[in-house]
Amino acid sequence: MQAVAVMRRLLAISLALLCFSAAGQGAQPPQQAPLPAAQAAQKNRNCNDAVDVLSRVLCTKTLRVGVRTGYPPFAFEDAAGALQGFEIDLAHQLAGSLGVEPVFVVVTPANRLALLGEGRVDMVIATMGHTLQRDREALFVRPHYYQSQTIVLGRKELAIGGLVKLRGNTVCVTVGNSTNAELSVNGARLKLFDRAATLVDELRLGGCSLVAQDDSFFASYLQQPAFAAAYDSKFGFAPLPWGAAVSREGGERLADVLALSMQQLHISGALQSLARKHGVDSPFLAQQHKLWSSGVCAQISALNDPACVIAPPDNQLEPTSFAPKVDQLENFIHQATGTRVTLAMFKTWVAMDLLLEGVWFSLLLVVGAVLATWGFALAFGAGLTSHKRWLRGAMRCVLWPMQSTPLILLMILASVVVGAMGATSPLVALAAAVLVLGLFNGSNAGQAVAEAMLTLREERAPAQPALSSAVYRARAQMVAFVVNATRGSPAASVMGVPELLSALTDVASFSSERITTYTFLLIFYMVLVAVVHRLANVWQSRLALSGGAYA
Amino acid sequence: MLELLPRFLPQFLSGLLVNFEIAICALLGGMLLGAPLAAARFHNGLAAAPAAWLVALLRTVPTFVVMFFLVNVVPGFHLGQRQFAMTPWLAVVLSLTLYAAAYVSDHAVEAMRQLRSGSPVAAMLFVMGLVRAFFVMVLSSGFGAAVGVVEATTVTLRAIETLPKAGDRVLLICLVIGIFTACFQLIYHLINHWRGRLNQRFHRPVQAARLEGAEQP
Repeated sequence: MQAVAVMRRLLAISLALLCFSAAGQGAQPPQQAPLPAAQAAQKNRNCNDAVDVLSRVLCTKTLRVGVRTGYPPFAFEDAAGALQGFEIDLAHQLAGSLGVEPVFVVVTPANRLALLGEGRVDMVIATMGHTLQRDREALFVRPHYYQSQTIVLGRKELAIGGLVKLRGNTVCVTVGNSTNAELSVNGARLKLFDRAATLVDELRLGGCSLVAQDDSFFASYLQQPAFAAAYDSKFGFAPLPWGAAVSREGGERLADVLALSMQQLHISGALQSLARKHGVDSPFLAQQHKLWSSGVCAQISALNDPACVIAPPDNQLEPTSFAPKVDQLENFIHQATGTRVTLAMFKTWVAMDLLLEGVWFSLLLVVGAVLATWGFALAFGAGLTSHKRWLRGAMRCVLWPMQSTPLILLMILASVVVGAMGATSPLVALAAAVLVLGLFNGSNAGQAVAEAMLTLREERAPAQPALSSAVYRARAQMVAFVVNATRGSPAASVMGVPELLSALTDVASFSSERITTYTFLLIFYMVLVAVVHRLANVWQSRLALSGGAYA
Repeated sequence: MLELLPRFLPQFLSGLLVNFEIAICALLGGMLLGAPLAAARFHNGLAAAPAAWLVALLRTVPTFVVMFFLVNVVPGFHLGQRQFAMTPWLAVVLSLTLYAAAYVSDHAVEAMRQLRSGSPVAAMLFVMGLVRAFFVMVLSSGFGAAVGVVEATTVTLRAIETLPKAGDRVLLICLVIGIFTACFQLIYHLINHWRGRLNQRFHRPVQAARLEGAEQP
C-alpha cells in the first residue's frame, strides 16, 4: 500500500514538474529582458513563502546545496577557489535533473543538520552517513550515493587479518567515533587524537603504527603514490551508507524527486562514472548499479522496497537502566557547583561493562603486584646473600637487567613471549603483568634486603642472622617498592590487561568525553596508591612494635 | 633481523637522546618545585604542614596515569606571556617532574638535617642521589611510548612490529635490554665508586676531628 502511495505521489510530482517546466518555457521568450529589481524581489518573496521545499526550489530555479570543503576528493576548493569533487558533481547532476541551478553553501559536520532544519539550505550532500539516529533530524534520500566504512590502515609490512586479530595492538583513533566501541570490544588498545589529520601525521612520524578512520578520509591520501607505497588498508568494518538529506519539514516531495533521480543515476551507471572520475569508485557502487538495474528494483515502487533500499544502521549504544538518574546527578552537580561533568562511563552498558571490568582487573593487578613484589623481594634477598656462588650469580644476572631496563620494555617483552605461546586472554596478560611488576620491584627491594643482611652478618658474626631480621632492617625500602609496584601497575595496559586506564580510554574514545573520565581515573589510582601506602605503613609500624623479635 | 640493525641502531640512539632530554627537563623541574617544598618542611614554619601534605600527595601520584591525564584533559597552559600546548613530550616531562619534586624534597630535607648535625657526607650523598634519580627518570621516560613520544622504547616497539617471527622479536628486545643493562650498570657502578670515594674523603677528616675533639680536655 505504501509503495503504491509513493508511486502515485511520484507520478503526480513528475507531471507537476513537466507542467511547471513547460509553463516556464512557454512564458519565457527567447530574448527576455531581465525582470526589474522590485519585481524579482517580489517573486523571490513569493517563492520563499512556499511551505513545500520543492515548490520553492522550482519557483526560484535554484537548489541551495550544503556541501563540505577540505575533504578531497569528495568536496574541496581548487587553486582558483572553485568547488570540486564527487559530491559537487553529484549536486550538479541532481539540480540538473530538477532543471534548476545549484547554489553551494559551505557546511561543516557540526552545522549541516542545523542549517537544513533552519531552512538555510534545501539539501545537504556533505559526507553524511545515514543512521537511525539522524533519521529523526532529516529526511534521507534513498538510494544512497556512497558507502563508507571504517578501515584500519597501517604500514604495508604489518600483517593484521581482521578485527579479531587486533587484540593487544594499539590503534590510533579520533575521539567520538562510534566505531571505536567495536575496536575496544575486540581487545584493541586505543590511542586518542582530536583530529583525523593528526592520525596521518602520527603514522608518518612513527607515533602510531595502526590508525582507524573512515575510508573516505584516506581516499585522497591513498591516491598519493608515496603514501600508497608505504601504507595500505588492513580491513574494513562498520559500513555506513551516505545519503543526500532534505528537511523533514516540507521536504518530502523534494526527497521523492531526488530519490527518483538517484535511482536513475544508479541504473544508468552515471554515479559510477562520476566516482571513477574522482577516484572513489567502490564495490558498493557496482553492487548498487546491478541491484537498481534488476527487474525488481528498476521500478518506481522499489524506492520504498526493503529489498532494494538499505536500512540505516543503529549507532546508538544501549543506555543503562539508570542513565536518566545519571543525567539528574550531572545536572545536580552542575547546579550545585557550576561544574559540568559527564559521567559517560555510567550511561551505556558497553561503557559500564568496561568500567566494572577495568576496576576489577586494576584491583587484581595491584593485589597481585604487591604480593609478587613481596615474594620476589624475599627470594632475591635470600638468593643474593646465599652461600652458593652460582645462586648469587644467577640472581645478579636477573637483577641487573631489572635495574637497567624501562618497565614498559619489560612489559612488551612479556607480551611478545606470551603472544608467541599463543595465550592471548586478559587473565594470562594479567598474570604476566603481575610477574613483570613483581620482578621489577621485588628485585630492587630484594637487593635492599640483601644489603641489610650483609650488614647484619658483619655485626653479628659468626652468628647467622635470619632473613626476617634483614626484612625488618630494610622495611622502609620494602614499603617504597611495594608502593612503586602499585603506582606502576597502570603500565600493564600496554600488555593488553583491561585495567581501568585501558577501559576508560576506550570509554572516552566513543563517548567523546575525556575530562571527567580521566579525572575519575586519576582519583581512582591516587586513592589506590594511598590505600596501599597506608597499609604498608601499618605493616611497618607493627613490625617496629614487634621489632625485638626480629632485630 | 640482522639487516634491520644498521637502520635500527641510529634511530634507537636518537630515541635515547630524547629519553635523556626528558629526564634533564624533569629533574630541573623537580628541583625547582622540590627545593622550596624541602625548605618549607625543614624550617618548620607555617608552611611546613602544607608542604609536607603536598609532598605526601605527590608521592601517591601515578606517573603513567598523570601522563594520560595531561595529554587528554589539559590542552595547554600559560607561563607568563608564553603559551604552551600540551604535547605528549611535555606531558611526560611534567608527570616525571611531580615524581622528581617529591624525591628532591625528601632527600633535600634529609641532607639538610645531616648537614646541621655535622655530617657533610650525607649532604654530598644527596648529589649522588640526584644523579641516581636522573637515571631512574631516563628509564621511566620510556612511559612516553604509550602516548606517542618517539623515544628509545617507541623506536624498539616500531622495529619489533616489522619482524614477522616471534623469535626475532624476542631477540631484538633482549639486545635492547642488553644495551640498557651494560650502559646503566656501568653508570651505577661509577656512582657507587664516587660515593665510596666521597665517603673516604669526607668521613676520615670528620672522624679525625671527632677524635681530636674527644682528646681535648
